[in-house]
Formats: sequence, C-alpha cells, structure tokens
Amino acid sequence: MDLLIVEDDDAVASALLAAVSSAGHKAERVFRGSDALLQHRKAAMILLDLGLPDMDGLEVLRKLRQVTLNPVIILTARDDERSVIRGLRLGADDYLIKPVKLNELLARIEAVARRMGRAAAPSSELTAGDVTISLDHRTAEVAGRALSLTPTEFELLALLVKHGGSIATREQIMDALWGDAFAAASRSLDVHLTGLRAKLGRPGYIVNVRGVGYRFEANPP
Amino acid sequence: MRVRVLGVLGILSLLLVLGLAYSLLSAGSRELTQELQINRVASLNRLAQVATEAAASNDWTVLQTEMDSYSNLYGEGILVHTQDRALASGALDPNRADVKDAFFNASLNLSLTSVEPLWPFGPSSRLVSRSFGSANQVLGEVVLEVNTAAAQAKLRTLWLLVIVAAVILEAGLLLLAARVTGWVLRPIHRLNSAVLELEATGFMQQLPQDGPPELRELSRSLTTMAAAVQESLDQQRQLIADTSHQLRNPVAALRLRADLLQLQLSDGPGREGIQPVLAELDRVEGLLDGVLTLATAENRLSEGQARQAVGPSSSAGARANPALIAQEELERAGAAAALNGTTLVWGPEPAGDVDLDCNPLELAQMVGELLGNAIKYAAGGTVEVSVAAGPGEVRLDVSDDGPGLPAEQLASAVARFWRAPQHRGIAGTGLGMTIVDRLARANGGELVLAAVHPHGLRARLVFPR
Repeated sequence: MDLLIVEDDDAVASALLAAVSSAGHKAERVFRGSDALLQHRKAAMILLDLGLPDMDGLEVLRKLRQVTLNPVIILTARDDERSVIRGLRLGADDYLIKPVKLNELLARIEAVARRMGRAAAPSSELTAGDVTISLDHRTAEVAGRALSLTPTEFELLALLVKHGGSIATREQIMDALWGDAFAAASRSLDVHLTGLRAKLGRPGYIVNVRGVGYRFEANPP
Repeated sequence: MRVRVLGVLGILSLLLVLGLAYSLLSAGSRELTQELQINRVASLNRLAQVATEAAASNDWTVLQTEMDSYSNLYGEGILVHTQDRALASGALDPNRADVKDAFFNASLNLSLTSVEPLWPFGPSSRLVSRSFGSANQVLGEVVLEVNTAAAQAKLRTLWLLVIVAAVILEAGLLLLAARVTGWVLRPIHRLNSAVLELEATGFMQQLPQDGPPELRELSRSLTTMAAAVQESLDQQRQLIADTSHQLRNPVAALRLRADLLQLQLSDGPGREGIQPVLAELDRVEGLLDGVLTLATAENRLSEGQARQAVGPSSSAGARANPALIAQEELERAGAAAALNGTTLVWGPEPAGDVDLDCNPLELAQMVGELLGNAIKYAAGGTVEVSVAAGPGEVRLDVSDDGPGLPAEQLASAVARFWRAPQHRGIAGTGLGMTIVDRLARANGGELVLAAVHPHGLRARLVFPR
C-alpha cells in the first residue's frame, strides 16, 4: 500500500519509513502540511503528525477531509483528550500517541486498511481474531462457540468489528443502532455493551477509549 | 487599625470643635455683659449726679421723678439711701441680703460697678451700686437693679446657634476622617487579601491603583512580584510539559528502531540482548507519560484554585456520575486484572443520586489510575470499588486486600516519584498517586489513603456536593 507520512521530525520520519517498509508498504514522506495537501492523491493512506512547521495538523486534516475520503491516521505527541476527541471528530480514522510500538502501528494500519477494503466490497462474513460474524445469517461465533445475541448486541458487535480495530465513536454507534447520534439512549448503550461483553466471555475484546468511544481488539491480551 | 486611626482623628476633631465653641461662647457672653455694664453704670452715675444735686438743694422730688420714670421705662428697681431718708422706685426689695450688702459696701465708699459675666441660665437680677456726695463727704448710696433676662435670652440664642454649628462641624469632620481613613486603608486591606490569595493559590488578580502614592507604589511592586512568581511557576510547568513533549519524538523514533531491530534479529543471540533495551524503553515511556500527565494535572490544579479564588459561582459545573464512571473503569481494568488473577468487585449499588461536580474525564482517569495501582500491588487478591453518599460529600473507595502500606508511608505516598522501598521490584514511576491527588484537588475533592484491616490499602476520593 502507498502511504504518505506527514512528519517534521527527521528521526521519527526515517524510523517510520523503515517501519512501514518492513511490512511491505511503500511510503513517501513530506515535511509540511501544505505539501501533504498537494501530494495526498498518490497515497492510499496518510500518517499525519499534528505539530507541523507551517500549519496545525488538525487544520490539515480538516482540509483533507473536504477533498478526500482516504484514511488518515494521526500519529502525534499530543495526548490530551481534547486533541484526541477533536482529531477523531474531524474525521481521522485512528489516533496514535507517540511513542508507538511497531506491532501496534502496523496492526492499526492494517485495521484501517481492512475497514476501507470492506467498505468498498461488502462481504457477508467478518472475521477478527477468534470472532466470526455472518451478516447474512446474523450469527456470531467466538472460537467456534456460537453466541446468542440480541439484535442490538449483534448490530453493535458487527459495527465494532466492521471498524476493524479502529475507534467507533459513541455518536457513530448510536447513529448506527438508533439512527440518532445524540439520543438520550446513551445509558442503554452501556447496558447493551455490558451484555455483549459478558457474552463474549473474555474481557478485553471491547476496549473503552476514554471520552471517545470503543475499539474492537481482535487479539486481547 | 481603622478604629484606632478613626478614634485618634475623632478625638482631635472633638477637641478642636470644643475649643472653637468655647471661645465663641465666652466672647459672646463677655460682649453682652460689657454692653450691659457700660449702659447701667452710666445710668447709675447719672442717678448719683441727680442725687448729689438733690442733697445739695434738699429737694428730692426731681430725683424721685427721675427714679420713677427710669423704673417704669426699664422695669428695674432703684433704691437711694441718705442718712435720713430712703427713696425707692420699682420692685426692688430693700431687705434682700445682697441689697443690704451693696448698701453697706457703698456706705464704705466701695462702688460695685462691674457686672458678673452672664450665663444663659440662672438668676436674672444683678445689682450695681455706688455712693454719692461731695469730694470730702459721702451723702448717700444708690443701688440699681440690673435685669439681665433680655441679655440672657440673647445669650441662649447664641449658645443654641453655636451648639448646632459645633455638632454639624463635628459630624462633618468625622465624616471627612472616615473618608480619609478609608482612602488610606482600602489599598492596605486589598494588598493584604491579595497576598493571602497569592499564598493560598499562587495566583493573584490585578490590583487597582488607588490610595496614597506610597501605597500605589507598593501595590504596583506587589503586582509585579506576583506576576514574576506566577510567570516563573508557569515557566517551570511549561518547561516540564514542553520537555516531555519534545522527548516524545526521539523516544518514538527509538521505539520504532528498537522494534525493527528485534524483528530483524528474529533468531540468534542478538534477540536476547535487545530485551533489556526494550524493557528500559518501556520505563522511559511510562515516565514520560507520567510526567506529562502530572504537568497537566498540576496545571488543572492551579486553574481550579484560581477559579475557586474568584468565587464558587463561576466554576463551570461539569457533573459526573461516579457510579457509572467506576463501572466503566472496572470494565476497562478487567483485562489487566484477569491477566494477574485479581478479582474486581463492584460494591453495593449506591442509594439515590450521587452525582458530583467534577470533570468526568478526569474522574475516570483518577479511578483508572487507582484501579491500576490496586491491580498491580495487590495482584491475585480482591479489589473492591464502591460509591457512597455521606452528609455533604460523595466518597469513591478503591480498596484492596494486598500488602498495603505501613502508616508512616501513607502520608508520603502522594509525593512525586515516591515509591515504597518494598515495591522496588514492581515496575512503576511513582507518579500515579501524585496525579490522582492533584486531579482530585483541582476538582475540589481530595485523596485520602488509609489502611484496611487486616491488610490492604483503601484509596478514597472525597468530593463535596
């Protein structure tokens, strides 16, 4: 896959280039936000730093989102909740905080890519780690064990797995389940999540990202 | 200080007003007395003249007519004694003691021609007397009654005027003194409360420039000093935040390089060698996260204190439901707990409304930190989280049945980078409890650590409501 790395720190940029190359991706690196806006068309995915010399990364993201739906992963040193939430709200597909482990970086890139691929060609079978979901039969299995899920729990699980390891915000989930992103049903989402977690059997499949939403972890520790 | 300054100024102004009133009144009284005296002594002299002539001609009718017309006109009695006769006009009793004294003195050629200073109240009858006769012989005595009622009435009016004026003047002076005292003291009080505020919160609002020039100067210096203190604190905090932020890039590069190296050294002896490097890298990352979180928490703390100093009403009230947050954090911690065999227990469901004023994200962060600590140090045991509402407060407890901390270590547990000597073997930064403590205080609450019987630690977050 062709990646565009927007990063002003040379050491990080070269390490990132080496890292993604090790997984067989091709990558190009730009230094400034304005270059990113010029060159994004060549890349299938963008790794975006927020602290750029010419403009703020969130501004780059906002402008990118006006012209492209290509996946954007924010990789930054900014770890305050406000930046995380704003980044994801502005349309980033994932938000990683430096320093990030190589495996995690590659897994997130794959997860986002997988999700993009699914969006293009919907399949009736979803798999993530031990979990298999059949959208046609509306059944789900964990390591061969069939789960008896309520319709809402099934929708919830399918939605999280479809996001393929990247974060689904509470608003996205509520919008998909109830058709209303700002419903007062926030509490009932918690109820369904608790039920789903109990049925999955192992804690750690559904990771609560504080203040943002939820992420499906295919291989929990 | 205000009372003392005002007291001194009040006494001084009272003395001033009394002195002024006294001199005015005595001058008035003297003038009236003098006028009366000059007037009556002239009359007395004239009567004595007439009496002398009457004695010379032995014709007393002129004198009697003169006396009668005088008494009719002025209503004051006159008595004239000679050796062989006594003439009287008006209503002056010849048997009054002072009248007799006056005759006696006059017969000794002692004239009584001065009138005692007048008082607004008191006897309204005075006497003047003199003898008459030729140069070598006293022929008789004249006693003239002086009726002072009219003069006293005038004097009373004067007293009334002066007293009213004095009261008004004194009130004006006291008012002026109060204004001056306030003008001098207001900046002092303000400086004082500003210094107290600076001491308590490390934050001081701009002082208005008024009052005497010296105090204005002082308040300017104080504002400058406070700004310098604040700025240096801010700079220090910013430096920590910036440094750890700037460190993230090289550490990120290092982490990726080390992971790549490990991947490339997939077999062979080098793989063993890189493990300690990765472990150290984990520690550096943990420290970096801790220091940055602490810097943010301390920033929030000083913000919170500044807000409290301005007034409780302005605290933007973010509400948090601690029961909901605690359950969410229990879920999140579930994976870590399952890994080291710790049991997580959600305590009795709290009765009624336990919502409290706290940033929900920060409350989640605090509970998460406390849970992480408990799972780490009480591995394999049971960790219970409970929420309860007490009178005027909400308590959130995270208690474990691990080894706990001895009493003398409980107090130092919230100090930066403090780690219990017996826990050196367990990875950690010594920043977790510090962060929880700062965040709790930033939200108006506090962290209380206590021992659990028979062993274990209870971390309690107490928030007022």
